[in-house]
Amino acid sequence: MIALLLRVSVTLAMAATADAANAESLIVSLSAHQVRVSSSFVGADLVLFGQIVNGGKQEHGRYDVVVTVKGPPRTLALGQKEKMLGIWTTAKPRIFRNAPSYMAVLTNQPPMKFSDAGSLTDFALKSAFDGGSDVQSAASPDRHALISTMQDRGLYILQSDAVTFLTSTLFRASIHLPPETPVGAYDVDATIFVRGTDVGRTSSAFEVFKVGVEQFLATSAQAHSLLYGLCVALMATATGWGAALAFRRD
Amino acid sequence: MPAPPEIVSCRCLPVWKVYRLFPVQIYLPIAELPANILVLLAIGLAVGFISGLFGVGGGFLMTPLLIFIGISSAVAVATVTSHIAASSTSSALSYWRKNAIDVHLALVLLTGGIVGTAAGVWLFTALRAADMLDLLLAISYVLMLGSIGGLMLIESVRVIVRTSSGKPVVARKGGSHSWLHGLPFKLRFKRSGIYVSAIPICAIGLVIGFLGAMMGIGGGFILVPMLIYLLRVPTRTVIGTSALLTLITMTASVILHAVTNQLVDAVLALILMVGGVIGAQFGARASLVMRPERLRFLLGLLVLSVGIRFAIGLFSTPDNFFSVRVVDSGA
Repeated sequence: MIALLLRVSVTLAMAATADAANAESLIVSLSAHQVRVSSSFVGADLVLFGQIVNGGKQEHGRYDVVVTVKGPPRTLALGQKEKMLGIWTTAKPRIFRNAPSYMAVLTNQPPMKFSDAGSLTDFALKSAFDGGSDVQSAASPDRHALISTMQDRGLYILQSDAVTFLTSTLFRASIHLPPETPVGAYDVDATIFVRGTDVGRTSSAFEVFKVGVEQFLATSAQAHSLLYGLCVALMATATGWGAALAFRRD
Repeated sequence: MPAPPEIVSCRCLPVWKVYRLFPVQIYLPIAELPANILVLLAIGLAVGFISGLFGVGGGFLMTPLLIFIGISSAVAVATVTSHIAASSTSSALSYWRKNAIDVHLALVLLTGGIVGTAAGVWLFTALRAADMLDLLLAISYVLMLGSIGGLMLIESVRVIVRTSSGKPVVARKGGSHSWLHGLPFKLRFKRSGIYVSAIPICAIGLVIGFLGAMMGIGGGFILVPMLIYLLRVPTRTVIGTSALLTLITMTASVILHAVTNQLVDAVLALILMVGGVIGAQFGARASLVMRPERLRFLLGLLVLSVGIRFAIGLFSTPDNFFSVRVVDSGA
């Protein structure tokens, strides 16, 4: 919690002290920095507001924005089904270490129109793998397959109309978290482009965590697993007993 | 005296609005996704009904059903064991009241059962780490359910044909001997009236415990025929004894799964259990109205169809060629 606040304040400070003579700087604000997963959680929607601040020079160019949201890093195993002896099995999976378990790449228009970096998928690839952290697979088709499979599951979201400009310098991005969104720390990165060049960026962060009963159960399952197992077993026998008693009609 | 808590007057809260207070979606903490409570209750009720009707644990049906609604197979197997523990408690209790359990036999079965359960949980963990759990699970389901279902169908059809053609059905006599009975370490079981070597008993317990922990099935539908045909246990004690064994192996399995894999979802388990034990009571009542060989026929049909469904999944071209699995941080 403290680390989160520290991270947010450091990035805001950095944004505030951006070199004024060098044109744009960017200030962003998230609608929520904490997403609570309670028993009624069915996903969440966050809004990121951003204000582009001119450094004094009046820049009348059209701005474009790319907002990238990355969820907590996990080890992902990409399996491909192959036919072996008549049966469809998953061959040895490609392992991607420290790949984001959730990712959103949101822009105000298709990136092809404003950036040389290419399509949404290219942004996604760069964002997910720029750490050079995946160990076993550098092969590009696997990375593309990972991105599209995660898109099918709703955990990677690539949208070119998710950012809207309210004025020429104020924009709003909608970040959607699906129901299966992973628990952990999320990083938000916003970059502004003018006529195809990257002129400013800033970051923010939020956290998804379980609360209440959900958190208690998940923690107990990990930390006090024997007690948890005994309690579940007890609950099972008690339920069976209760039902036998309740319906006794011998 | 403290003020009484505010109670919403019944006049202001008409009954039809109460359902809105009850959440329909609930977040499962271990499976880490939300599920519809009503769907889960319905699954619990349906499987419970079937388990009461046929005297089986129902795990062989519930595990695939949970996988089909999107819960990971690992969480499904681990959580279903608790459900089977609940339903076998309920049925063991009712057989206990009728004095229809051979505790000594159950204890000897258990010696193999506990070892088998531990081995099953170990293999489950190893397969999951090697990313082969889904495949092995599907293959084992196809082989086991296919063979058992097929055998059950054949046997019950034979009985139905014989009874309908008027020929007398030769009932297997409890207490008769086969070569298995002659193996060393013979023990006498008074309640069942059999005198048999402990070795096949331990072996049967081992197999049941192993399959139960690894595949999330109670094994009742394998255990009962094995006890009847291999050990010649008479029908009066066989179901009660098998319920007791299932109860203990499944309870051990829940605890072991919780400790080693931490994949037992208590919320999921509770909802399924509540539906299951209620459904089982109705199923047990319904079973009294039907003839046993017809029941076996239907059960064989059901078991076989689940096996066929798995086979179809294995042999047909998948919709998605790629799948992504999140490996636990720490693996």
